[in-house]
Amino acid sequence: MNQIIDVKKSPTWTHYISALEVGESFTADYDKMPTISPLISTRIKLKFPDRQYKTSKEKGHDGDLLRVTRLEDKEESNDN
Amino acid sequence: MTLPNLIPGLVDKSVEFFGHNMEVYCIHDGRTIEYAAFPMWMREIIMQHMETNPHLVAAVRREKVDFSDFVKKYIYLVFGRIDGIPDIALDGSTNHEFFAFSKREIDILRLVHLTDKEIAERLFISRETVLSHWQNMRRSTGLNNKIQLAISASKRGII
Repeated sequence: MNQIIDVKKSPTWTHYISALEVGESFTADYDKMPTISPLISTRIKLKFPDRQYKTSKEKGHDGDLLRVTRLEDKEESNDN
Repeated sequence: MTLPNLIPGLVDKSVEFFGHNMEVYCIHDGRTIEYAAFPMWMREIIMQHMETNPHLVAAVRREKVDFSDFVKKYIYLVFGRIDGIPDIALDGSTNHEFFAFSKREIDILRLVHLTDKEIAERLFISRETVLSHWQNMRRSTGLNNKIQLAISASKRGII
């Protein structure tokens, strides 16, 4: 007999980055930088080629933080 | 090399509460103090915290953790995690780390990557209800960004 299992998945960094609106940002522990930066430059860039993100380092209560901000989308080029 | 932060209260007069085996303790001035021996000034700060955070008092009441003493239960749930930030800082200010999310709010946090309309469809509720849940979560945590809310919940193992 087949069993139906309700799997509840937690959001991933890709989810968080994808969900950012223009001008919105979030912070993560700075040690997540090696995970988050490649995601932005590969997976997110492939999924949303016009989106632009900025990462910066800031001081938090309990150590350094990585702030990820979504910038204005790239303007479409009018070369044609 | 970055050195890890010391547990607050270990070498200073700040206070770090922690729970162990359903008992509540604090670290203060290099000593571990049992709940029964908490000084009056410490209890007064906690009472003041309860007065100014009625939403946390209500959330603690809802939690099914069996404590005969409500103040003890409040400290256990609201402050009882050792996190490197003093629960009572040297200036007497408090930092709590308890986010009281309901089951439905947790369902919504797990779907943070979807639009509010998609979350509503997925959970068979209205978009207005989703918006109201986000608003309640923002108010109770002081975090004004839904992604930050989900990240905080994830860091605490809630989602």
